Amino acid sequence: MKLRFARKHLCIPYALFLALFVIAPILIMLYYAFTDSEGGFTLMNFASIFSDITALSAVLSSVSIALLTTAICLIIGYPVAYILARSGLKHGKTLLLLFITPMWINFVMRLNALKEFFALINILDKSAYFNTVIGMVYDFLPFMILPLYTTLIKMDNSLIEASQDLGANKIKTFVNVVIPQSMPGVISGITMVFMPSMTNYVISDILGRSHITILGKLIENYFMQNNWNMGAAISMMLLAVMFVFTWLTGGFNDDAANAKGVGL
Amino acid sequence: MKNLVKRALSLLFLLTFTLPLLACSDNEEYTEYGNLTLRICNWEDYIAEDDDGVAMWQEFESWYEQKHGVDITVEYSTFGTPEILYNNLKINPGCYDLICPSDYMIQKMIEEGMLDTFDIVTQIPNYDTYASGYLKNLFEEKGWTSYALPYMWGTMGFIYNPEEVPDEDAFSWACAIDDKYFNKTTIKDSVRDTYFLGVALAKLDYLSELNEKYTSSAITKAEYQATLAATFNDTSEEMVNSVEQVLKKAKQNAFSIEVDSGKDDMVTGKVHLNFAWSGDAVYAMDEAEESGLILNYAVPKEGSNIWFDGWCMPKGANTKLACAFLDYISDPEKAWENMEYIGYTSAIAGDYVFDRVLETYDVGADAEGAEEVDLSYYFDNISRPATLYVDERNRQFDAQYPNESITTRCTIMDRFTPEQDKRINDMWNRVKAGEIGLYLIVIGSTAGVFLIAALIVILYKKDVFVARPPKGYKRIS
Repeated sequence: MKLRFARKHLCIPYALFLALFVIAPILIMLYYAFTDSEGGFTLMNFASIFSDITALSAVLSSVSIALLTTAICLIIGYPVAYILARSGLKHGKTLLLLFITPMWINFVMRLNALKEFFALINILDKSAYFNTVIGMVYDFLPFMILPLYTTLIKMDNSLIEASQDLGANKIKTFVNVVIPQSMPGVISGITMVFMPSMTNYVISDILGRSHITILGKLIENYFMQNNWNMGAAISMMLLAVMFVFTWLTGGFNDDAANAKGVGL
Repeated sequence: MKNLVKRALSLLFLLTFTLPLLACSDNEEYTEYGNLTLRICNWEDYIAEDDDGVAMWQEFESWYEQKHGVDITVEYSTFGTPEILYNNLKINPGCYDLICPSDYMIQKMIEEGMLDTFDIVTQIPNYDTYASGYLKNLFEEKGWTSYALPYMWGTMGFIYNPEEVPDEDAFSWACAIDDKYFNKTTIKDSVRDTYFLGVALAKLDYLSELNEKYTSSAITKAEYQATLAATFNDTSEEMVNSVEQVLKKAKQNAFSIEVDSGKDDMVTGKVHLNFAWSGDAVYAMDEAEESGLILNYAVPKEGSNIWFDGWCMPKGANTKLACAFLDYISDPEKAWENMEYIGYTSAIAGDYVFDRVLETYDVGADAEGAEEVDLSYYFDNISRPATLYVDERNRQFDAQYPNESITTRCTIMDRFTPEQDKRINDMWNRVKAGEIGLYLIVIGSTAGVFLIAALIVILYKKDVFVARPPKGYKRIS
């Protein structure tokens, strides 16, 4: 056989990467999630996620923190993205850059700065829950603004003009034309904020002073205690949630036009 | 293409599962000097480095070459927790020659027959000559002498700010659940240490009575220590339950649950009491001094934990070279170098170390506030009386060299069996998860439900938003 270079060979590096760092780890995790400490098959790990008070409380606090974070990010992020994209600001790009710049600084550093600031205004030792939410919003806001900005800036202006021509006022235009058109951005924004805020326990450790155990922290706890099986089971559950969410929002549609979320 | 990908994938699976095994290759390089590779696995930051960043194991390489004229290789790696080290050894037995786990892990490994033995007198003469008799005896009593060589040791206690916390408070574990220090204490995110604190809190009265009985000579030292050990190693269901109750209280009282940030929070004044290891205490006191803050360290009167890290050789290890290395670092000069770098207390005593201690802490008999301290229980192998005069008590000196009355009320915590481990881990997970306020869940969930509802409506019921024509218009379709 003669070896000939073909374009498809270009994807070999990525295929290797995928197999080594994505597929293999998931298989290993699957193995641990469905076995007990002796290596026998069991479903108990998943059962105890929903029966054990520890895991249940972690699920509840992560979900409520993540939902609150996502909602706040959306409420803050949408107007910002809208103004940046549609108001024809002279320095719109510069302003956008200002929102992204914090992402260039290491986030542990930023969180510690925020911790010191909280201590300064005397709220650090108050509610661990709200401190964590503030930290999450602070950290994930750019991930909400960016996809919103990209969809809003691509929006066809003539649709808005048409709506106005047909007699809709500004509010109606916004609700009936702008919002539906920006849904792909909203969905990817939500995906990019919701999932990490369920698991990013560095934030709850630093700002919540470890008083709150979210799912990411619980996974770490189990791994530290050598209970890989429970840790893997919770990770698999999170993966499943992500999978369902992506599927619901049409993330697996090959037809880009029908996809309801812009590709992640 | 499909075939190619398939082949690539299967090859990769093979690699993923075999690579970790290959990484720890077997030693086969035997010469007349024996095996010439030494694989050490130690805690992070647990061996001295000189100013140029040359670590002591690298010095050992060149020292050995000069002395014996043979090239040796030291492969040095580090571990995060003894559990990880244990797992590595279980998956891949014989992948290290020399390891440095903590007391309970040494015990576990001995019981599971994972360790090789060595003879201190003939193989590690420096240790035999210079090590403190106190530690030698402790290891002898435990039956660990031929399996493990003490490296560093320390106690657990409170770092405290004497301006905010009076000494008599800091010398009792009770302040961890005292309302007076609400949001000013910390607990450790480390299950063994916190379980220890929990037992102390659950048995406060019993333990302080026990201590009084001992100090008033109603019971002997041996009786006292035996009772202490039995109490702190109680892992019965009853005890675990009462520990859970007090730890929940301690958690509510605590500013944070930490392993690392507590020192800094102490220095910046966010907390006034930090449940800490003695070595961290020395570090925190040094740091605080630089910013003009005085911190103290106390080992509470109810008794505390004394812990060790020791060098062990897993089965099949290259004991010859490992012993040579241990002999090298047991040299008092090297031991002091390590001690200065790490901040904990070395098992090596002897004249040289005592001289350095005098240099560092002794203020002379005539200095103001000088108190005479007798360390003869620890420096039992030196050529003069082991007494010195120090003026600042409850500080670096006492953290590094606790006197005999402190070590008497300290006990070793045994390893947990897998069942005990599970019981205590589950308890600790429950404590950490805690009860989040109901109203918070309600707020968070309501916000979320609204969000999801909005999403579903927008996604699948778009016609909700379809503009209805104003009155009077008719849709022509």
